[in-house]
Amino acid sequence: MTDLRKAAAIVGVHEHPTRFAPDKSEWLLQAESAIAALQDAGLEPKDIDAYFTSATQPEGGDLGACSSIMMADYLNIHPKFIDETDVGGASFGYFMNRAILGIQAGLFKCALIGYGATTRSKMVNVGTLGFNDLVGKPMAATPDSFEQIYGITVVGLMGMIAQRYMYDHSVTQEQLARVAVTMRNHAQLNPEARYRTPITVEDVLNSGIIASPLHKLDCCLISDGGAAVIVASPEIARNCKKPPVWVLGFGESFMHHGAGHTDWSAETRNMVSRASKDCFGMAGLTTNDIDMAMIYDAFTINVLLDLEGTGFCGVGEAGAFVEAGNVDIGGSLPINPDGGGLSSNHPGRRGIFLFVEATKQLRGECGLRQIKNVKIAACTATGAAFLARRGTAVHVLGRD
Amino acid sequence: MEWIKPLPVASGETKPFWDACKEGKFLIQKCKTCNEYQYHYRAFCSHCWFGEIQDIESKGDGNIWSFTVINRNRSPGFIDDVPYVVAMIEIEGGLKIISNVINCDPWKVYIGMPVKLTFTKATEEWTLPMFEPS
Repeated sequence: MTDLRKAAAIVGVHEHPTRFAPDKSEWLLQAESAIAALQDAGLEPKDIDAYFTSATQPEGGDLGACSSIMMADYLNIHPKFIDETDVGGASFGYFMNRAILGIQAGLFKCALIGYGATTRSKMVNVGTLGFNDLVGKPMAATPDSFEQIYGITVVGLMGMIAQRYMYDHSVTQEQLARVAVTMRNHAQLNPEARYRTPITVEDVLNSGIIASPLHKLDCCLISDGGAAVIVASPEIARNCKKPPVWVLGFGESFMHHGAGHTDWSAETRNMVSRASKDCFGMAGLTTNDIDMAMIYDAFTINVLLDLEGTGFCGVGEAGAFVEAGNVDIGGSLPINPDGGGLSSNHPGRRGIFLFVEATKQLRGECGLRQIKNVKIAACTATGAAFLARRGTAVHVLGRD
Repeated sequence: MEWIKPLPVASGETKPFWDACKEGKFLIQKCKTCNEYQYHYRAFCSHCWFGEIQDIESKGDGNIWSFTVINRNRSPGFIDDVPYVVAMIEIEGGLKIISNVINCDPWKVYIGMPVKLTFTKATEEWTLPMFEPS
């Protein structure tokens, strides 16, 4: 395979500071984020020759079908390459991979990955609705009719995965809760985080069951938000305003129901393992080389599964790993110093924020929550279509 | 009582499955060529693609492989039905079936619990397969 290590770099990032923007559209939130990311890079709109974005309709806004052309029209950019591969919250990881491939192939040199959503303003209960109600579509013969009639929700899906995982590996609810506590501790160091009041394990366990075994505080928050990431060729990257953050390796993998044969719990971890193997193989690195990680924490259980899938700890060991403080700022593998989706920002598709925070950490721009001497960071994001039809993307980023 | 939860929609492909439910039969499928089982219902073998798929009436005995007690669902029909159980039931052929487990205390359901098939007549037209403790 072609050596894709350092084929492209992140040269500009921005996470919109808002968490609630009732007077703005998701289109404007993305535009404001893209403008700020371009300024961060020291580039101009005319430099963008590839564009990637994700639909937000209906949970996060009104950007629906053909989202990349519709948003390109609004932004009034005319890149030669567009893509809107949809893997839910992991879409942005997939965009990153496609951007690197296009840059490596010489199809384009500078990609904008953008996102905006107004899920909180629209008061959409993403996790606690039937899927057809959530996406606003009528029941389909296949596969909805075999699933939606039973009243499964997004939180319920993760509840089933968590229930089986806890059964297989004797992981406790307290260990799951500790993930939420850690994210809240980190959020206290992030002035832009939505929730900053400290919580305890008991608070999580007393926050009410949404879908067993998951409590309210095992679930991510709902916010409005936006972000943008600029990915460029090495030639452009060396002339940008800030030092490049190189993509050292990437991988992706997905899972589905396997016609009724899939172990949802183990496969959620195994797909992360497949993506990680490709990613770390490309980078020529191991988990021992990683200074910090951004892990998409839609629910507390996701963090445990991704820690094991990536290989930061063994199968069934992530609960104890978290409980021992390893993922705290100051621990052996700090994760989500921004507070994650559990405490900082989750407009519906969080994947893009992982790249923003990891890039800022690698640049040393994170103020109180800055992790000392970060040289190499990992990002893992898992997103879902519905139920266990899920995709994951894993990245390793590094500075010069 | 009027059924206010969502109802299935049948296509030409899935009509045999729902017709069988009305007769109290729960259809799974097995490929005559590759011998693999599949669920949900399809008009082809999703394992080998080329084989001849055949319908099999499930015996309807299984065990709970995983489950969740849904305690909040704001969708019409479910909002007042909480708490209720959505589970994956492992039945013959190793198939994991998404369904409800009814006629039990939701908070007493556990992984490995033996369950059996039952049917809920939602309307004159629709009978829905579910499970209950055996």
